[in-house]
Amino acid sequence: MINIVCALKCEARPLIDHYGLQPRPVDNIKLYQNTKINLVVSGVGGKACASAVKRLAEFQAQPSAWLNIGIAGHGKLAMGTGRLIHKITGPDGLNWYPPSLVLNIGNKLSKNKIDSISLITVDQPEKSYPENCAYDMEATYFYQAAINHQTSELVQCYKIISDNNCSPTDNINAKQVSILIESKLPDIYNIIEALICLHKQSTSKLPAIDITDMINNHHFSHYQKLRLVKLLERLSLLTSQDKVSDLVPKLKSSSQVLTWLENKIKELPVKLT
Amino acid sequence: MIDTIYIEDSVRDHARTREICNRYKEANIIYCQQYTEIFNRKAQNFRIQKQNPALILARKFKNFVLEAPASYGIGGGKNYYFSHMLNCLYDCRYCFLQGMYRSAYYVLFVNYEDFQDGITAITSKPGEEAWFFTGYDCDSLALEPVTGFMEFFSPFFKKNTGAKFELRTKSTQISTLLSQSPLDNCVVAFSLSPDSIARALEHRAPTLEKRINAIRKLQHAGWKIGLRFDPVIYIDGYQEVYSDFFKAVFSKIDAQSLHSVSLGTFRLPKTYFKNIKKIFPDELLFAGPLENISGMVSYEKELETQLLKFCESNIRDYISDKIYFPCT
Ligand code: SF4
Repeated sequence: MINIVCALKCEARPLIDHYGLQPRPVDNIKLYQNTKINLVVSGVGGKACASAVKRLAEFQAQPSAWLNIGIAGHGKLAMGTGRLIHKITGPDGLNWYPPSLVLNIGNKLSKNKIDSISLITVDQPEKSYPENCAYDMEATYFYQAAINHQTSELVQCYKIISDNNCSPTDNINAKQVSILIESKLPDIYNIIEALICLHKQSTSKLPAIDITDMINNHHFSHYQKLRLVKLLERLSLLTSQDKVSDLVPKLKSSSQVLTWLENKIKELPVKLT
Repeated sequence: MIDTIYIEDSVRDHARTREICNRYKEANIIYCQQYTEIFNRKAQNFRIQKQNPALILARKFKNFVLEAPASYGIGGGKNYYFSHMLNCLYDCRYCFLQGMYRSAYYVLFVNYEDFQDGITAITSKPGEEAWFFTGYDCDSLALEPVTGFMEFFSPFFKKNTGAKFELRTKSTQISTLLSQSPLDNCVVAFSLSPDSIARALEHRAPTLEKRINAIRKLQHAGWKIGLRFDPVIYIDGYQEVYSDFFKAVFSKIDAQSLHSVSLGTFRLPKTYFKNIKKIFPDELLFAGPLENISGMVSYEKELETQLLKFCESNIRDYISDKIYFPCT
């Protein structure tokens, strides 16, 4: 699953259409989704973006990967250039460095190399582009909010240049923005796939252990419950079986269950593969 | 191999930085003020980063040489270590680096000269013999073609005959060593494990056979070799696995000319162990018969003693007691 955050509806529109995202009524969030993508339209500016990230994260049971897609200004790059962001400087001057793995995977998937650049987040639209980097109004806030809910390797920003020294911000209209984003759908697809692929690899977990039956049958103290889960997880790993609680015979007490599990684990061969 | 290089502003123009950037012309270069802006920040995942670590070039400002943990000694006087690099090319599942750092990026401190000054400051004081270990926070030789570490340090080691050096490694990057005459005060210490264990746990490291070949070449060239059977791993049938292993190793190398052999079992500080288990919850090594005693996770005492005794008695069949050092 991936969460995409766009500031403007016109930035989101091509994605909503391309991926067939359906509006989903959720309190205070403009959310569109399919089975793979949640897209939220946050509104312009850092605060709106950060609060959209927070609300979407709270609404989810499992953490997802995060991608901020939007337009940005740049003194030198041509309009319509798409770039991942490898360094973000906030209005407070602090730097953030979205890790580059997605870039590498994205480039392996892509016929065209997806380059990356630095970006400065400003609170007011930047019209003179003093540094050789992109300017936007959300990335810092997005990144800081998203890494509260996900490891930074799975939090990325992709920006499409919408204004530069030859074509100032005042020239931009919603239709043009949608056209710019639409023209970058192949790159966006590769970034989404790269993020989803990384996300899958990072979430190798043990099968969830269900102790409901066991705690209904016996009284386990808090400490015993923790111990029970740990022993069942270990047994599951060592026997390569998911439903290990079924292996436990009917016993008289919680401590007998724990002792049975400890002994069972001791009997198993110690191996590495 | 390296797609992204972060460069601290303080070493932007350092000759070593330029050399490395020249080697990786295609790499994405990103400048930063301090390497700590990138390395080991919150919300980083060692396991994900390990798939394709970036290289960070930085300057170290202090603590160039530190006292080594007690278990590091091989019979000498005072033991120190220095780390020109943090993190490793290889991916051993028992490695403490995975538990110590959230980031798997390689940090290379390019100001090698300052490490040398740190060593000189210690060796210039009269006193007992000092040993300096490299390869504590990284493998000493694995990234030699990039770091040029031994190329730069060899003349320094050669000059500082009063000090002793150990390079701890699993690497076969030995061409720098073979291209010069052996240094009398330098030991190349290879960590070895039985093939089946190395395959299961020492990901991306050279195979046992390749390591043994490297040892043979170095011995032939006159270098002093140490063997580090550390960590030995408890598995069912370890007796057969380890006795075959020791037999194979000692039949292929010259045991008489070995400098030292040390032995230790799997052990990790509890906090590191917990961190590693979190990122590798499905690793069978961590589901083994382990216990936590005083903040250190290791094999249950009885099993550990059996394993160590067995390995020790096997090793002693091949080497003299004088060069045997158990890690405690
Ligand atoms: S070779 Fe040493 S430093 Fe490198 S991963 Fe293995 S144990 Fe860690």
